[in-house]
Amino acid sequence: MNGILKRLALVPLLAWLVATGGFFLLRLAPGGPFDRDRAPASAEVEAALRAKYHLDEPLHRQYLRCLGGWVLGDFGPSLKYRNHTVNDILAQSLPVSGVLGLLAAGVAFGIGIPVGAWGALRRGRWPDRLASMLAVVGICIPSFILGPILVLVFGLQLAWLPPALWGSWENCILPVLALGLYFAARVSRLTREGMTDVLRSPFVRTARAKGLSPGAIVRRHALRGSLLPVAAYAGPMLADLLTGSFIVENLFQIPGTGVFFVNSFLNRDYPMMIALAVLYSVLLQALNLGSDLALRSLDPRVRHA
Amino acid sequence: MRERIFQHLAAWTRPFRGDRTTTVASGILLAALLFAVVFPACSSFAPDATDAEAFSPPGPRHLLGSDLHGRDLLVRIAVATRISLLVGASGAAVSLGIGVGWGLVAVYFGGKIDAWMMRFVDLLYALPSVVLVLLVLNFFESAVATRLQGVFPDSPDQARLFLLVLCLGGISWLTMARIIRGQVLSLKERPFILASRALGAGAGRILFLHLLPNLSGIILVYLTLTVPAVMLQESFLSVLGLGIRPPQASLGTLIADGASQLNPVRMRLWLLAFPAGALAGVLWALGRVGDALREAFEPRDRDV
Repeated sequence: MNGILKRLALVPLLAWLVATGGFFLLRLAPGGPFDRDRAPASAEVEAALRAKYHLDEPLHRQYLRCLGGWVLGDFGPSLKYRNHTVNDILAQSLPVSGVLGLLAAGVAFGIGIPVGAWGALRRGRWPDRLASMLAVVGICIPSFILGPILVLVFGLQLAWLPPALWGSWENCILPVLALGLYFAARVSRLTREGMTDVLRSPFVRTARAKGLSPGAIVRRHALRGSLLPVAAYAGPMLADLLTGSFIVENLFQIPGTGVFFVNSFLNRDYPMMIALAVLYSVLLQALNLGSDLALRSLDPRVRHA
Repeated sequence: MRERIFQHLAAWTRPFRGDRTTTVASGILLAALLFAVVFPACSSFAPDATDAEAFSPPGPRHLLGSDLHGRDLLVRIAVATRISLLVGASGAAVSLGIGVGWGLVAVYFGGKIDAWMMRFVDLLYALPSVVLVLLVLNFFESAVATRLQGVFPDSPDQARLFLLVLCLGGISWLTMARIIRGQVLSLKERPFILASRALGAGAGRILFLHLLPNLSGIILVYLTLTVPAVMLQESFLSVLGLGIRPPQASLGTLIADGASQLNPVRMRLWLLAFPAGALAGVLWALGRVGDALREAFEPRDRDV
């Protein structure tokens, strides 16, 4: 309990470190936020823009100004999309990425856990070989290969599903698969390893010896322990999925957060960049904490360790 | 003497001959290496040579077809595999250097310094890695470019390659550092270390003569597992247009080019399928060999 509180207390500290580091590193990077505007601004216009966004003040004044905003959870206006604040943009794009990421996580767990468990139960026989082969294929085909292939086959050749855009449930299927199948493959391998370990352990042997049916052994005894590796992996995986994927969002023209991770840096959109880095690190900490809590509830031994 | 060499060879290649899949994977890896290194020299096409037959499908002249500029895809894949493997291997080597150094130093100093060094690793874990790579690339590119211009006057894009390797190594050492630290912590209390400490060995001697050799197995294992990870990261960046720049090509840039040629009117599937297959094949082979090495070297798995 104490450990959890301690880690929770570290989250704001980490967020502050990330924001501060991001602030100074980005200012040191060559280029500025107004370099990529459509027409090169005249010197006066650019000076006026810099003055408007307080970029002409000394660095420590700017930092203090930003720090004040961060404390209140306000990251200020975006320097690229100047009609919007960073919080606005995130409020619009995060739910999209969130839905996409949750569905992809659903695919990852929904396919990965049963397939991995099935493989472990039939270890060495054809279901295991098939499942392992599929998992290997899934891991070796990154989303930037899988995505175009899915679009080509199901979007263009067969024309069963819309090849891009976002809005209806049909739009979800291809991007969710492109994003989720890789993670499903990882989850299935982890589940298989976990399940294999558990099935070898003495308490499963006892359960078998007292005549429990194989199904009941898996459901009542083995499944819980076999999910330990998956639970440990779930934190980083969810953090990646929920903040959006540049590749998939770019390919399917989905208005999510993932595209901003790269674009905001290329645009030198300082506030956006800092907000994204803080968002990601806080989410990762929170989800890792969740992961650890899940581990504790799955395995009582971890609790006392 | 010869017999001993064979014995050594047999012992060393045992993990690679463990089962059929591993043998196949090692074979693929060797073949890919040979193909990448030797083939561009003996092909009848130069990797940058263009000809009038743009987009010719796979056939007798261009075995795997040709691209937008009529460049032979087979040679391009060979050259790209070379760059990808180079980036993967040197990135992994950088991550090895930093990771092992970091882990050893953290344990050696111990206490507060150890705690802070590991907190720093946690902090870096919490940053999105793409952002980190972009940041470093942007910071140092022009500086390194001018520096390298003096050394290699005729190849302007070395700076990009060099920095990419540094960056990718710089973001993938974290796991290595953690693993090394964990391993050293458990080794530190073993009797042979205590014995050599009792004999008055200094910290340097213990670290480098006693600990490092005992870590070599696990280092080798994670090295083989880091290479595909770095290759994947590099292709990811190249697909975004932020990695290797034309005229140089990696498998990632070839895949990106191939994907941009997909449209419902005219299918040029070979431009995507062959580079993607090459990348997936190499990744698979590396992963399989890494797993086999892990099973062979990792002490925990040996007892089971």
